[in-house]
Amino acid sequence: MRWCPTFLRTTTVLAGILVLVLLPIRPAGAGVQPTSGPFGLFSFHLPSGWILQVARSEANLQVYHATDSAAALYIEVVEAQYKDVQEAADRIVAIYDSPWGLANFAIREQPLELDVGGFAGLMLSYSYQTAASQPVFETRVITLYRDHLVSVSVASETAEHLGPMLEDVLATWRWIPND
Amino acid sequence: MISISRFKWLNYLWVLVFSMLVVVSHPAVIAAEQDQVKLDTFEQSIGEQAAEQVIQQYGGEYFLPFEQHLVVDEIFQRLVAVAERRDVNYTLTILNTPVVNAFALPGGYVFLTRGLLQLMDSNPQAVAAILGHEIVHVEKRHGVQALARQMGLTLLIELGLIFFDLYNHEAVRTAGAVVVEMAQSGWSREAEFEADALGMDLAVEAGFDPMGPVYAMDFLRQLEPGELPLAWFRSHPDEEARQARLQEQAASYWTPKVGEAWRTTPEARMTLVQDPLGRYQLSLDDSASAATLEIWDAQLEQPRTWAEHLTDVSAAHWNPDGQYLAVAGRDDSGRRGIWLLDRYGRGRDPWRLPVEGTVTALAWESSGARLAYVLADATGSSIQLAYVKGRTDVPAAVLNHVPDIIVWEPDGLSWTGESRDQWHGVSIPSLQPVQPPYPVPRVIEPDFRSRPEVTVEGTDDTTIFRIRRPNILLP
Repeated sequence: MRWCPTFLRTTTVLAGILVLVLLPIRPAGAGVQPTSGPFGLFSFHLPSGWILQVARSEANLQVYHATDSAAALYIEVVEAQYKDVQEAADRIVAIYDSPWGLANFAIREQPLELDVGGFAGLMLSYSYQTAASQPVFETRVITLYRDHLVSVSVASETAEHLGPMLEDVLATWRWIPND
Repeated sequence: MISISRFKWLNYLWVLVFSMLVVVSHPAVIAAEQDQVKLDTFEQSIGEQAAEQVIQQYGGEYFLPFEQHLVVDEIFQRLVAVAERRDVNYTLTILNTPVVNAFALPGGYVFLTRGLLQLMDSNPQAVAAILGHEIVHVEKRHGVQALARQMGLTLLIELGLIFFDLYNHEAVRTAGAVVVEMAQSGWSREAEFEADALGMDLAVEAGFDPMGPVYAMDFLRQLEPGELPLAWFRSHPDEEARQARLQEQAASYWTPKVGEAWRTTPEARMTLVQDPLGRYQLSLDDSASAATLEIWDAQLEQPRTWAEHLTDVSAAHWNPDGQYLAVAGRDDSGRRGIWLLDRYGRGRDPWRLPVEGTVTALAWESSGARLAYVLADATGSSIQLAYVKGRTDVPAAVLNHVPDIIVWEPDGLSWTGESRDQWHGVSIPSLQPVQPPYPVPRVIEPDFRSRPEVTVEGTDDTTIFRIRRPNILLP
């Protein structure tokens, strides 16, 4: 078969049209998804590779599961009266480390100050053991917004990539105005 | 001579000492401020000693998961905050036993068992009722009073020693052991009644429901007689009288608002029968001689009749999350009462069967925990409040007319009759939700089951890889 320039041009144009038509029909979850948090306080772009676990989510809690590992990403919003994020962090660590808290709780890194959509946040990195003696590594970012304690966590069986996973979420974090 | 006079002198001395002991043991003297501190110290010592014994006896302390701990602690701290005694350092310990029990020791040591919290599903109102009751035992020194009665003269002497700062560890240990025994089996009938009454006051002041003790008793009565907590039931042979007393006191907290203009309008009735999830429309055709529950299913676009065994349906109301429909009517055996149907219209067992009278109206409160209904008979009517999981109802108001609309307001209930020209109301103590002001985020464990599990089987010639499917919960 001989490739004539007209045929080639036509084929190229048709292929281009086909690509343009099919581009918006990407399967859900193939890329980042705009997502709003509990109570509509904020929005973020959910990176690819996470699916919502409806069965474990509640009105003030969103739980996501990684498609390629056993990692969990979850976001919780609760009303709170903390005066600053440091007070909240101290309380959280004290409770997790108490007899009522987590088995074999251990701080892995010193708390790290960071910015969450323009508000002061703290990143806590720690490990603990489940009831089935499975070690879990977790990185949690907390911040205070409109009398709410907002907590974003990533937990996995390994400590690797937890920070970057959270940074992916926080990079697109936007607080939704009150009105 | 000398020895005789010394003997006489010793006799006089003993009489003098004994008289002093009796005098200082008198309540009026005990109440004296300077001696009160010593008595409190002694009470604290006994409690401390007894608390150690109790914790050992019950298999140690049980540490609740922190989410539950924060809630139970919040309930306890709210009650302690409104308690009167400032000299007591109240502590709450959960005992690691499935046995259902609760008791308090002198000095502010309050105990609940793991079994009791499980039985009550950690319901805040029921737990607050139990804790309020126990705190009153400490507030009113029921333990020390019972100890005095039990140990008699021995204790009086020990108490006498208190005032001379001469009591020793052995005396405290002995008293502590007696207190442990008594605390677990209940103080006295009078003390328990006082703790019931003042405990309810305490709970209401702390923002809990006066119905809490009634509700707690409902939970406890699910147990077999041998499983009942001794501290709550041994000294209460007349359980019915106790229950009636609690109901009567609970009802006394509701204040009539007769003659006041209420916010509710007749249009409020429209909200009573709407499905919160929007699928079903109810129709109560009361013009028919035997009203049935007619439903229009907007999803299937067809009419249906629910609970066909019910006739004379007089009222129906969806609970706030649309999972239950409360229906008042009469079943095929002639029983009048309330039925709870699920979202698909299922439910044959009656939920409430009043002995006398009919239910003319009902309404859920916004939290879905309580249902108010109007119970009418030939003499008049009353508005009853019921916990969905409880068995005993409390009359919130006794009326001389029969309302057919009842509506929950933010601070009470209002109702009206057929004329619709006047609304009446009753204010209800406001409930403060149990919400720790300094919460701690939950910890969600990763779902490790989702990881594919690969096993290798086979011989030298053949290898079989078995892959178990991951158990991912899809949205």
